[in-house]
Amino acid sequence: MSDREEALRRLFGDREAKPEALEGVKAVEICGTNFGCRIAGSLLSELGAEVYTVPDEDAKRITPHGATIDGVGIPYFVEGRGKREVALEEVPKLLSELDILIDGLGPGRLYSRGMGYPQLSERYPRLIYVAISQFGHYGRKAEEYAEMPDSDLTGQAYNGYMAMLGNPSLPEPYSYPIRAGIWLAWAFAGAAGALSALAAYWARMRSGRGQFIDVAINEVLSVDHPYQLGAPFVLGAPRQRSPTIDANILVTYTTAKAKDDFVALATVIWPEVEAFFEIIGRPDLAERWRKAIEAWGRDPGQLKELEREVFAEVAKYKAEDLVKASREKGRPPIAVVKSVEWVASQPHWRMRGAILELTCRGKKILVPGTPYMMSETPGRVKLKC
Amino acid sequence: MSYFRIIEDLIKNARGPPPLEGVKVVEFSHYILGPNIPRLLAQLGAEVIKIEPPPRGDRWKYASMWGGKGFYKGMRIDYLYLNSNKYFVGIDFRKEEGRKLVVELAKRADVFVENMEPGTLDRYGLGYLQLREVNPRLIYVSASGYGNWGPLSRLPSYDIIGQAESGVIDTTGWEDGVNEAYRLPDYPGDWLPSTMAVSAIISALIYRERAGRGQYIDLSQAASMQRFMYHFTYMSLTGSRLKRSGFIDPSAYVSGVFKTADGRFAAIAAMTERQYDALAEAVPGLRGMRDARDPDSLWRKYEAVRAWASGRTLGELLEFGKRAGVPVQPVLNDKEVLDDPWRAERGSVLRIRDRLYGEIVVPGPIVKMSETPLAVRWVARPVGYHNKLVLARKLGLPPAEVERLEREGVVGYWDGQLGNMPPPGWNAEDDPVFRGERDEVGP
Repeated sequence: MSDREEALRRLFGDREAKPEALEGVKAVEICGTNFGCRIAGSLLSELGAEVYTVPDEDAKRITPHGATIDGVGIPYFVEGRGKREVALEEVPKLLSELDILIDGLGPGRLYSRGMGYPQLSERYPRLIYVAISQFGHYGRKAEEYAEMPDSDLTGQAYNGYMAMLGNPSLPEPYSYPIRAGIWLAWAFAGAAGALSALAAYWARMRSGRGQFIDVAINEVLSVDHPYQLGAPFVLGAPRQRSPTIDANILVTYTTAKAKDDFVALATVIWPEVEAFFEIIGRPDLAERWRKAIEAWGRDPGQLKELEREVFAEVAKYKAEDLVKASREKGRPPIAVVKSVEWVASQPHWRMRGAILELTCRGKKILVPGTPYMMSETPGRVKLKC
Repeated sequence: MSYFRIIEDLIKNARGPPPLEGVKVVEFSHYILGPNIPRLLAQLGAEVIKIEPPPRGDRWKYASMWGGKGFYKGMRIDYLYLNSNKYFVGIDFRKEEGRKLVVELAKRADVFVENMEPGTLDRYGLGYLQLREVNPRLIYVSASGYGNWGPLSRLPSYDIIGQAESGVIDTTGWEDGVNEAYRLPDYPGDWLPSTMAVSAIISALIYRERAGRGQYIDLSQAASMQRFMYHFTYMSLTGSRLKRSGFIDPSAYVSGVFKTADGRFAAIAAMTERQYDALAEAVPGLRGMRDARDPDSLWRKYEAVRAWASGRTLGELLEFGKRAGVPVQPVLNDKEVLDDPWRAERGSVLRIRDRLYGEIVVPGPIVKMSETPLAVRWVARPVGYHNKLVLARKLGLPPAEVERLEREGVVGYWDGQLGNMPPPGWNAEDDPVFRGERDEVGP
């Protein structure tokens, strides 16, 4: 370990003894089955806010294949981190000392109970009210879909994300658009909810006033990462799914099957593409690939043909040999596609608190930790069985 | 007035200053992971100065997209978005005087964002451990694949490497017969961690108000994705891996993507018992299977819904979803996202007139706020475009000093490479912002 790494390890050490960034900030989440809302509350909790949650029996049952810990589903358990339960009827008692309210129930639900922003802001003008819903809390579509609950799957669909994922040449229905294997729409919604709540809190430190924030799960991916807009704006047409070469840069930025394992090939800029072709012993492919890209608009088949040649070459090598060759050459980054099991066993992620181990009724349980590696106010996962 | 109208009025009449007004950010980053952090901070109102080594700077702007069609008036379209609302200075940090300029900018900054390979900036005296000496209030963010310390920290990364190393590729796609591994498209290994980073930064600002000290934020791409992988928990709880399931959400009672009678794709996900029961009222073969949630049962339930959905149009499925309270939405493609009237109404697809590049469609703010609205005020500029504005007006250097730095190559400009140029017909003499006489927006 270098002196610098050692200094950083010390800088980030002793996490439990350090203060929390959001000490004194109070939030309540009223989420129902909306996990984008729960994630927003969790991120605030990891950063040190005191977070209350209104329990929801349906949300407790949303879990992979029905698996439960202590009677609740895995996502509910994991996102329960550091939160204290409060009944919906009891929330009004908290309001006078509350900084942030996260509403995931859908537009108008809390308003009909006298707890919408228009009512609360009269009495509590400092309140920051974050609404997280599929189409937002205003506009025709929000009204039209007010009675339809949200989900991550429909969020990934409406964001234009699934349209780019999966292999259209497989037999039906495997050829249909597929989902990202994590709750990507809910994750982005939660991240957007948390950051905007904090931006509003920062603004309130100057203005003294709270405000209303509207997060729409069905747009949050497409406003954050811009390819769904940029591509059709310049191309005049939607992109097509490309499970192999990258649909944007049209190079071998992709996964590929080596002799034994899958590898991830990170060729972004042209010198990396050339270096990769050298690694697989086919420097001649560089010039042909360049010409195929030039011809792509009128003849996308040329790239497809070359792609097959490249994958045939990759399949001749062991995955680790490709990784080793890329490190010796200095580029491009290549990694073996790791299994969840392998990742879970890595000391690096345990050491950094990205994956945590709890003991629940004598059984060791792994849970996602926190990415908030902060030297003065480290993120914390206050999760117990 | 209806609730929806009240909220609409609040949002549409938002007139306050942006939430992070007054916060100063220095960006020393490239590609997506680094630059998206200051992009979001700038959208929230922070002043962002992006430092690039002249003449080429951030290399992401040159990657050819869509067979060379990704360029718009000399710049790449997504680069214009990703670097909106920023000031661009070209500083050769390999020169001693260049490094001093970066340090001067860091001294007046609240936040410093970088995503070079771990340790790179330390070699130039611009790492956290060095800059905290000149600005103890600085919040310094390093974004990298694995983080800046720990056994894996020296390995290089891009989005796809972060995806591979986090395990997220292993969660996506099919298994049992479809032996393929898919990267998640459009680089979420960059977008998600960078979005997460903003919460950490604002928290650090809030803490600094209390403690008076800045800090170091060491963000890992892979760890940011692992944050959402309940797969670890499932595996350790049940003793078996959570298998990849294509379009099926294994946490739902029934879900999937379905082809409709009018040839569209629709996603349906019954997440609760009530939603399932409502679906089972309409779909033959679902009754009695609700609580069977193993992979085979989820597939059988999918097939039942598939048979039913194939006889209905997308419109009919959406009407059903609204009536029955079951999540149903179309799988939109790019063009449908761009042309979506809902997004246009919300200002999430914005047509702006950029002072330099003219009319352009941009993604709107990631959230809508009632007191402190977010905005996309201008898009990216070529390397060094704001040199005079930043060095003279913001850093207070005399014009003769700026000229000397230019002459000696300490600061510099773009070289006209495609991806790094002003629009055709641009003339330096006619551009008061380039000449440092006025700011991009405002008085």
